[in-house]
Amino acid sequence: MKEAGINGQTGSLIDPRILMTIKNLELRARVVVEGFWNGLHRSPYHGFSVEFSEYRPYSPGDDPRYLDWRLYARSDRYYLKKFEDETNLRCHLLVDNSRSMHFGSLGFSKADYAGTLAASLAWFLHRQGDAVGLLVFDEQVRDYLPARHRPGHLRHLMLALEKPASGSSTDLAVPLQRIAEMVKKRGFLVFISDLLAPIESLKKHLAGLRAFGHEMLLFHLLDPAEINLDFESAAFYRDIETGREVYVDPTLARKGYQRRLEAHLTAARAACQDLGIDYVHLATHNPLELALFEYLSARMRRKPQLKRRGRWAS
Amino acid sequence: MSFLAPLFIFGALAVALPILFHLVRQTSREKQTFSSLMFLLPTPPRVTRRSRLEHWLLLAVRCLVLVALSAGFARPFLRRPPPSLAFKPPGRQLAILIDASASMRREGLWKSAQDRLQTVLRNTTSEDQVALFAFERVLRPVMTFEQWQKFPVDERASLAIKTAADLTPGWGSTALDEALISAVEWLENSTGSTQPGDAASGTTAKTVRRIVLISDLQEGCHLERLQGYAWPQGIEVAIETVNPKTTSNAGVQWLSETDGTYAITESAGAKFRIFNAADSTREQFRIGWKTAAGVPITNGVDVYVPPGQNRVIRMPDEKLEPNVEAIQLAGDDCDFDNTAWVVRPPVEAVPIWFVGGRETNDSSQLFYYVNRAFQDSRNQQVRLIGSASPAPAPTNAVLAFLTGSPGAAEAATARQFLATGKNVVCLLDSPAAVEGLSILLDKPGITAPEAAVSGYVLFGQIDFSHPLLAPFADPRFSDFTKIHIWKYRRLALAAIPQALVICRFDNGDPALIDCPVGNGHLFLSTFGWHPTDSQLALSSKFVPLLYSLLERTCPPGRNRLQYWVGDPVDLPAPESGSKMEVKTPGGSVVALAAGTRSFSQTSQPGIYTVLSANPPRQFAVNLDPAESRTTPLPLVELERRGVPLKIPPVIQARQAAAQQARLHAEELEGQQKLWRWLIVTVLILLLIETGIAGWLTRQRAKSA
Repeated sequence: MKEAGINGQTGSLIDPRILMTIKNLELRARVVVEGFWNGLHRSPYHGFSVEFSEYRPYSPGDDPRYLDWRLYARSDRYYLKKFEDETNLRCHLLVDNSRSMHFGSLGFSKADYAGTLAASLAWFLHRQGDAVGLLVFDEQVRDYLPARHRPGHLRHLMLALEKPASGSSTDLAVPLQRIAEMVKKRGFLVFISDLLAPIESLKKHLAGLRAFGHEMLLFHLLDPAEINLDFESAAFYRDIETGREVYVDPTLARKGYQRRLEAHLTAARAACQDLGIDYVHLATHNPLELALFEYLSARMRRKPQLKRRGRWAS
Repeated sequence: MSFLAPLFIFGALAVALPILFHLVRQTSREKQTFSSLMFLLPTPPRVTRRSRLEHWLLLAVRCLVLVALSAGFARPFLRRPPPSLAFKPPGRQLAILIDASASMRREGLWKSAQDRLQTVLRNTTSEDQVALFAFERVLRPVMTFEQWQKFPVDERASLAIKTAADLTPGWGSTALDEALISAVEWLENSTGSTQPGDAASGTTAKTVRRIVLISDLQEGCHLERLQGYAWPQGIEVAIETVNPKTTSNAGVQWLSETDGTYAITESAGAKFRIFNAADSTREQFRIGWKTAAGVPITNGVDVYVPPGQNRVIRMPDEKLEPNVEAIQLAGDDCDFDNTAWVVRPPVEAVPIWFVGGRETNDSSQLFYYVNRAFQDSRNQQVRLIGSASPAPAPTNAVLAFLTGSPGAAEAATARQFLATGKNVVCLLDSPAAVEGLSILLDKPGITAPEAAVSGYVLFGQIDFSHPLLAPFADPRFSDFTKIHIWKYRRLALAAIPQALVICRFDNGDPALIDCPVGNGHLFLSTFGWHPTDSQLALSSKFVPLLYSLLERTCPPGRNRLQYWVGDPVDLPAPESGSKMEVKTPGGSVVALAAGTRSFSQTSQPGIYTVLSANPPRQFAVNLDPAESRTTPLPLVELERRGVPLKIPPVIQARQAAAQQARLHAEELEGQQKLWRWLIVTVLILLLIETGIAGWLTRQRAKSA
């Protein structure tokens, strides 16, 4: 389990503030992925492969193309050689689009960051030939695109990510329940949210998803202002979701706030650890490439046993 | 420093607002949107700083702006003494009319009226001309303009008040129309006399002429004459209404015989009308007889009269002392109109001198018919007097009939009779009767030969416009064709130039002639009325004709029984040589000058007795029933009759003084215009405030 902290290495990576000046989401994703792609070696995981499964005696009507002539030569019997398809990766991006995601102190919101992250991942996976699906939610599921790998699919996906927020609160229970119902095939779920909801219910529903056999990666996005509460003047703080106002003097409230936030993060992290979910805490001023790197690391950790096999049995 | 609109000074209280705002600003109103308040707890505001004002300079400037603005709106000015007025307001001519009618006898009214009069008099100036009048039926000057001007200038008001203190309300009715019109005449007649002060000051302003009316303005006051009166320009009427302590009032009125068909008879009793004022609070009254001395005789009868209505009741006639009665109403708050004086109508003896055949049972003679025609009535007892000639005619006879052939002495007596203004009927029932006629008219040579009649003649031309025949003017009674005349005498009218033929036969000969002689009238008939000559005595026209003759001398109702206070009373002719004396209710005897036939000193209600009459005649003087209608009269009734009303002069004088002071203040303020400087100050202060506030904002932005 890795964490891209706020002090994470940025190096020659693109600063999100500069990246977010690009208005087009697809272009932003492409910039992120291209930069990242160039830095990578050839990926050992891309491409299709078929795996030999079993032999079956030939019966009339079978396609003679699949006859194993070598075996016929050895045993003078007709056998058909059966292969097992190695399925493509089915990745679903679960993007939180609630009101709280629209807070941002850097000139862009968490929703912008999450959208760019999701778009970059989608671009990356699509380019890799994997099927990508999308589920945008707030207190309920707003958009759902099943995982596909088609020429126009990426375009639809970008459009869905660009839709403005319509919900009010963050309720992770209902979307997680819905994704469990909709995504029956096991796959890889990338969960992007600020997790501003009680951890107990989150843990319960994540456990349900894990029980379906899904692999999961959770990006926990937070704005630097949310982490540090670095406001100067006392003011009425208005909850962006509920509209509730509370008079807060940041200088007095900062310590307690950070303590409670840290407890929340710890609880989230612990919950993910318990469930075997990769947890990535990502501040929005961190470069997006780090997130891609985290993704690949997670994939690496999840599939060390994956072997490359030839299409045809040798 | 004074202010024209001092109420705007209260606007300076608005300085509390900036102070409040400066205090309120301690609490930050900034708002910060945040993603979630899950981890934020509210911070309690720092109370230690709340009570402390910040930006004293800004606050002071803002307060000054408000104070200067409110002072500007209050329109300040520096007070200076008003310049001495070279122009003096012209004096007024005031005719003060105080109502002294009977209704002013109600409790407290007269004192209120006196107080009001004193207030009006004290508010007069040395330039004013004042006259004081009291009125009831007529306007009575109490103090004229000339008397006012003769008073020392400083003591005019006090002397006038002293003069008015002797006034008391009378018993008369309220003839407001007469009073106003008379007052207008007084004012117009005195317009020519100007004061020396006016001439000296050289003012050309028109003198205000005003009638000040102090009255209770009851509904029953008379306004009839105002209806057609052209009110002169420049005379206004100020009303000073006085109000009674209680509004309940009821009155009683005797419905005497002259007012209708009501009569006191032994069986029926007398009728009375009881009024109740519209604003009265009482409804139950009691009415009963009392003696002239005021002692109640009976327990009385309960009467229920709702407010605004009246009831007529008949009181049983008690056996009282002869001819002296009064009715008393009880249960009313105001008792000035609760007594009605009542006299019984006396039976008048009417002697008629009849000359001629006086056989009572001889139907061929006229006496037979005349004696039966005059029956005794309630008020009259007709007696035919006289005897065979040459009996002297009774001096008190009112009418004389000459029939047959009157002798020279009888004719001479009848001539004297005519000279005293009485009437004589002379019937030429024989040619010989013309001799008496010649003596009567003092014209010898009058001839009246028997006319030749073939069959009968009828009445041809009848002058119904003549008072004697006027009762027959109605077409229902004007048919004289059933009366046939067989015999008549043709009278030569040339010898009697003053003769007026009022009826002719159908052949053109005169039948009835009116011949004025002396003060009386001689009615000549050229035919006898008895059945030998004509059918007149047997016809239905006969009795009305006789009564018509009697009424010419002795009209019914000539002795009225009831008068209102102030009415002139016609008195009967005194016995020769006796003085005319009337006994008033107070017991005093008023002796009238010789030849006076009218008594006008009916100034108080009660029973009056004419002592000089034989027998002494009594009449009752009562209050005018209109005085009992005490409901206040709406002023619009006066305006509707063209009376130009003004607000009460006392109030007007005060208002005028206040208005003058205000005008002076407005003039000063308009000259000084201090408010402009205050507005300039406000603008400068606002500029300063804007500068300070901008500087403070920049400083705050820098520190942030």
